[in-house]
Amino acid sequence: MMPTRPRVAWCVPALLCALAACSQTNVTFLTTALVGATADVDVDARTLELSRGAAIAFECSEADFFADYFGPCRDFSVESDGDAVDVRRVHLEQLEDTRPPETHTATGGGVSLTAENERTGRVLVGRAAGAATLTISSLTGSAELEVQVLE
Amino acid sequence: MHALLRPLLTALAVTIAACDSQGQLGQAELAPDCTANDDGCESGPLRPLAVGARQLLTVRPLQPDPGGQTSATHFVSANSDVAVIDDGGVLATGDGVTAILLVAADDSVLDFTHVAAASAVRLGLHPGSGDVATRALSGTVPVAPGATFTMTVAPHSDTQVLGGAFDIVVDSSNRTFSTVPTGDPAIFSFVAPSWGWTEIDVTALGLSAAVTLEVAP
Repeated sequence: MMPTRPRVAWCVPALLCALAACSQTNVTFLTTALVGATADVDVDARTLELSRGAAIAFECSEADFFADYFGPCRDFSVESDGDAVDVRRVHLEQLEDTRPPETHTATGGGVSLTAENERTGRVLVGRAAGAATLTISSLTGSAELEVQVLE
Repeated sequence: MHALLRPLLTALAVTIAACDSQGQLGQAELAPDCTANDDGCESGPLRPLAVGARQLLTVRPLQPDPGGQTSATHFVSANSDVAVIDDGGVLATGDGVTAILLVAADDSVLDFTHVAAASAVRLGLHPGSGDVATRALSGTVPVAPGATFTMTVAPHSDTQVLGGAFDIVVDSSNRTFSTVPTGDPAIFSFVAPSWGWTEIDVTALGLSAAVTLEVAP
């Protein structure tokens, strides 16, 4: 069975940005954990609970009104302050593109189109029980994600 | 002006894709390798493995791969307490769930799946070839003279049938019940003689089970 991703994940941030005319970095988690493991993201609290040994992938995209840019995060980096989480590079070029065409041109003033092979993200793997703070950065901004790895 | 406004108007949103991914990205299909026709091998998501059992995986890219990334990959287990990579397969080492990462030649993750492992608490001896949904055999089973009796050995946890390949030792107390090769290490066939009975003892994964076959004219 081929996994699918809902389009709403792309629509919401793009439309919000278009309405607010802002610059925004979107971190979109792409996967869930198998039953029996935990990979729970709390959007409001910006926390992630992850079982040791579980993996979760996310993609980073930017909508930069000032630069008329919508696409993968530029100057993208993810830093962890501890050993609880293994941050691994990921290939997303072959991910099925379920984004509707309107999200490519949603922001005002004209935006850059995202080439299909330009996608950036990371895979987070729970390595050891404990806490870690991830700093996710792009050219547009950065934010912290508190990760708790459960035994 | 833009430089001054940028930090004020910059926001970071964390969005969640509520997907039905079963812990996979979907760039490649990681599925049990069923070429060996072993019991518990089904297409689709992996069945939980019995601790001590091994499962080969196949990788099939779902999208065009112009860079040939999937041609040079290897597996990495995220938690060796649950599973390790053994000769290209997944060997369950303990109860739990772990991610199995498909890693490309440049050390980037191409895809991953999650594998559950559970300790078997009993062996089921199921009548027939490969259908472990049937009720397990017990006691004495009548067989017709000259008939072929086939059973499938499957490990069970408290709640479900477990998958994977593992060593099975089968001993029959009566050699006149001749064995027939099945090509599947978990399926065993015996041809009943004209009369008599045999007790078949099965040992695997530190567990044992037995069934008696009796020729019933």
